[in-house]
Amino acid sequence: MTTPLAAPAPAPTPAPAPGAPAAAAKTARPRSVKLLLAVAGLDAVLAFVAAFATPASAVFRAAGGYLVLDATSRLFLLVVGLVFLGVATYLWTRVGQTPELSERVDRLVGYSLAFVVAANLALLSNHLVATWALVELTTLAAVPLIQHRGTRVRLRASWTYFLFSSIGLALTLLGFACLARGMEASGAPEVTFFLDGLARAARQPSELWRRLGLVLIFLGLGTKLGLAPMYAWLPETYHRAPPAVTALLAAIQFNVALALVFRVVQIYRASDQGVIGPELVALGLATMAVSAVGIISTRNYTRLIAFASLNHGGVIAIGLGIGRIAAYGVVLYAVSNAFIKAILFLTAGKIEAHYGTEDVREVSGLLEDMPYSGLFFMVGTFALLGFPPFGSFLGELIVMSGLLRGGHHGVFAAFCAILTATFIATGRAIFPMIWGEPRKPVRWASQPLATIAPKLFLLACLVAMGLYLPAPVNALFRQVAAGLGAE
Amino acid sequence: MTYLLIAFLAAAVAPLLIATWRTSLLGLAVQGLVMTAILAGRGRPDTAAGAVLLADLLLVRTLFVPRFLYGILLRQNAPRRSDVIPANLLSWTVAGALVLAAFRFADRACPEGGELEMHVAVAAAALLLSFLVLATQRRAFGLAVGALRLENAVALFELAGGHELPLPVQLGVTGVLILTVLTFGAFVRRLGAAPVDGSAPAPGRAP
Repeated sequence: MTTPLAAPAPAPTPAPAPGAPAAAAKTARPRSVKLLLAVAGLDAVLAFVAAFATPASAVFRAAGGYLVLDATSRLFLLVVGLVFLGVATYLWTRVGQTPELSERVDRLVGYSLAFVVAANLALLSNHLVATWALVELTTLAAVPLIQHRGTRVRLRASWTYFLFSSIGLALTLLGFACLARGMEASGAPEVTFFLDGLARAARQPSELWRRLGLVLIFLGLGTKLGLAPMYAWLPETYHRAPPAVTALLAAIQFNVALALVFRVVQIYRASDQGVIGPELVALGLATMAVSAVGIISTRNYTRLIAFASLNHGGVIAIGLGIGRIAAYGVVLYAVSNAFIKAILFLTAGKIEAHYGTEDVREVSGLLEDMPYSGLFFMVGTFALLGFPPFGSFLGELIVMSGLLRGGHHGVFAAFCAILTATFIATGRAIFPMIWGEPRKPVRWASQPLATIAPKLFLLACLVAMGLYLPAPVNALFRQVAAGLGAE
Repeated sequence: MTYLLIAFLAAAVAPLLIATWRTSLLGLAVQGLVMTAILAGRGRPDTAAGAVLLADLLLVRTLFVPRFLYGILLRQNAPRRSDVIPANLLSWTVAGALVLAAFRFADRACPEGGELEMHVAVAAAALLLSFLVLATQRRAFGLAVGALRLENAVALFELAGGHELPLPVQLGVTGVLILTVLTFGAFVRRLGAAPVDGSAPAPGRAP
């Protein structure tokens, strides 16, 4: 399928001399795209300052206690800021190289800004129901983004996304209502959804309502994370949406929903380490199995990455389910995967724009044909599969070690079996794309540094998370993991 | 309050049996009205958040939602008949079983019994019936109605508690509901009566 943002038919371009000024620099871009890039840059700088200007354990409240800046919000604000900068740079270069993409780009920029503002506020929110409303706002902003310059197929994909999200978020709200009922039933002095007040009320649980509430919350938020059984929207939406929008959904919205999951786990794990652990492990394993089947059956590389995203959600759910030693691995894995998905989906957009197809059988010899994109796709795939030296490898290793140390041998065996199947199926589809014989004449335009700099930066972060984390970053990771019950 | 809850349950069940889109919208309106009556029965709201909640139930759920969707379907010249669940004995039996299961659940969840048990039972029944609608529908309008029934079931369950959300949060929740309904409306308008999975209409069904 030819998708407007992803795939304008590639006109053969003569190879410019190395270092020649890129076409991107010559084409005038709409003011809105410049605004997007400026806002993304500012967002990333502010997130960086918020993350590292104060100690990891410091907590600040603002706006009458409605906003909180703690380790969880700092870490995820940073992830959102970096990924959004990468997406904005991608749009900047794509619009510059393909002027027809400027059509209706103001609308795209407007909704993207609304999306990211809601995402940042959701991360800063100190009230669970307010966070819920802000996550719903990101969904509402994403709907027109998925349809952008769209066909009926995209319209259907955005409908599926919206319907699943609405149902998932309604279940989450019902979960909150059950928690409130539990607080009332147990005679808690006040019913509140402010994080600190809720932490106090959570110490007097009414078992049935608390359990029901948490199951509904995880089922509902699991919809946003693509966990089984409510995962069906994800491959379709990630496949059909423009690549930049897919990156926003997979790397930003996923992590905003995950931060909300972390908040709930942090509150309830403080009083009961094992709360709904088995349910999360079961959801995670089921999701990994679904993902493996999807990867085996698909011949579309964007869909394949989408199914791999399901796998990530499954690993995170299992890690959260066992908690303790796996908690640090979960945080590392979640952040790594935000960067991996951003790199892979944005690169997939470039590949589709070049080849005009998303069929793995039609793409071959990427490393020769599109050296930079081929390289990013190769490295991203290795990171996706959990190879060293990336953060995803270390995160997965810690989760697996947590499974063994927690005595979950059956889960460990199933986990390994599914991962092996995933690895073989992914390699079978992707490796010929990367190393096969090129099917098109080798003719590639030099890419300006600006087009690859964000992906290079994300890649550097990925490697750093596997090899060496600077002390302030590590402190942030540890602080978030401690809240999840890390030993 | 019990008769109000029975009215809510009737508004959830009747559109399953009387298969027109007008009945579905009327069901949503009656559910909103019943919830307004339940809230109003506790006296005049003494906080701004309470007033917003009252407006949410009366103006948004009772008046705006059904009226807005009604206008869209009228402009589309939608056929009168619209099954929210398949019109057969199996579906009706499943619907009955779900209502029974909801009452059994409430019996366990609220051992103290009384009005709270009835409230939880009706909310649970409305919730399960909304899932039945969502599971059996293929058209945008039917799915939107299923999702809005789910929203109403959640709102009814929230009314069982005495707690209030802070004003900014309540405003946010109501605002999100309005935007959600507008988005559903936009999809109903654009997707029309065709099945949303892209398949051909089922034989014997309205196109």
